Amino acid sequence: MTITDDTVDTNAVPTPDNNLNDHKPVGFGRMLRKEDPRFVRGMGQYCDDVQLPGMLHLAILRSPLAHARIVSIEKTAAEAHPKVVAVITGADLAEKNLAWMPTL
Amino acid sequence: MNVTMNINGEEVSSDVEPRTLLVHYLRDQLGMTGTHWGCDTSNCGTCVVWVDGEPVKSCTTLAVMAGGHDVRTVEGLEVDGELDPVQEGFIQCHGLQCGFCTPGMMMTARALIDRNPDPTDHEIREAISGQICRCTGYATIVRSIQWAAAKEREQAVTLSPTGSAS
Repeated sequence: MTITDDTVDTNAVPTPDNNLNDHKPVGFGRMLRKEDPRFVRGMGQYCDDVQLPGMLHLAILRSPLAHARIVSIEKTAAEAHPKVVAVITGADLAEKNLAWMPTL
Repeated sequence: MNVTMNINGEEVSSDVEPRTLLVHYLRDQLGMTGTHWGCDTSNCGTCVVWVDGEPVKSCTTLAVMAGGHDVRTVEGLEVDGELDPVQEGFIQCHGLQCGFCTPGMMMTARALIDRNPDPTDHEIREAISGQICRCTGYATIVRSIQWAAAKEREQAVTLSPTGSAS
């Protein structure tokens, strides 16, 4: 099968009447994506769109200072809140040998 | 507090905290996850919905501010199972890759074409200047909106009151 440049004009822009996307794909041929009809309806299931029963939400508290040393972290008030399941600090991760992960 | 608004043609009434943003009300309380929450800084525009026919960033609108008003989201673009020409245009011209910016882009595009049925590329780029896309480089988005505008101009001619069809 020979693929020549004159079979498909790759610079052509689809318009409502030129049926550019109806050609069967040959070489550079044009196709429509299978996922688009879902995405344009707002039905893409992105991570934040997933809602599972009983799922927890994670909030990350970041340092307000660009360069500092953590002296202590006061978490008793947060843990006392009825809707809080856990407050996790570097110390908790170190116990589980996870403190080496810089991104956490 | 209680808030009532018309969303995509339907009256919806809920109890919300006064601090709840419209984007979170739509996504988390109503489960309408078509509207996305992208930047938390009002920059990206993926949260754009219509309030009383005007595109607004729902991340910068409190849910209670929309009370008593008409809200239209991306879920409301489709009518009776038929895609809006803007949605078709984005499919035909590959105006999306990951699709995350797309709902906001389409709501803005829809508002633009409603007001300007024959926009220039420059006018389109200015209209979508409040939205960010990481994937497409915007060229295909502009093409998609041109496609939609052309499609509607075609349909307007076909249905013209003088009865002439082309």
